[in-house]
Amino acid sequence: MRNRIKELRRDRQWSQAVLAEKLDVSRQTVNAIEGGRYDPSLPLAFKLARLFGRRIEDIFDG
Amino acid sequence: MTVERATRRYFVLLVPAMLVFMSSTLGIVWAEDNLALPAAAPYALTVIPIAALLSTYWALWRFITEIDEFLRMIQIKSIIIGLIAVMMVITGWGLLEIYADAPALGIFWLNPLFWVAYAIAALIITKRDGGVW
Repeated sequence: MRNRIKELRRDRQWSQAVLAEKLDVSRQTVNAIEGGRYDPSLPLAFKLARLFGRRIEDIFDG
Repeated sequence: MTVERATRRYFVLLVPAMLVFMSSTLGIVWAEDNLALPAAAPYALTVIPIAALLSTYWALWRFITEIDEFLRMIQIKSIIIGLIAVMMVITGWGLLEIYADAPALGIFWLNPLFWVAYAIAALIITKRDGGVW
């Protein structure tokens, strides 16, 4: 699944490590989600949406 | 909990438990060969490696519950591959024992086989998917 996390993260000038800390996950997890190698669970997707102030469907392409 | 802390907690329990398992197993074999033990002694002594073995699996269980969902997925895939390896060896070798007079395989070796297959799978999947080791 494609997503806009890398773009949204860079807009805020956050590193993957910073985003990982805010989400309470590992940097490897952020890297895997950004790279499209892992689709997050619904709770983590909601966490991302809240953090970026967007709707889930604005971040993830189905 | 951070992945680093969970990983540290995992190895801090896993490594000593593995060492106790191996040394107590070798100790029982040595004692059986060199000492005049009562017949019930090996049964009683086997409690030690089994307790150590339980600790190794508890360490793995705790590690999986403490890491995040992506890393947990890698670990669970690796465990399934480890179990598949064990099942394939049991079934394949069992058939060879029945139909081809292959020598009996000690079921003791299935636990080490699981750990080896699990570790190899974890390394490969981690390298492919970008997890942590």
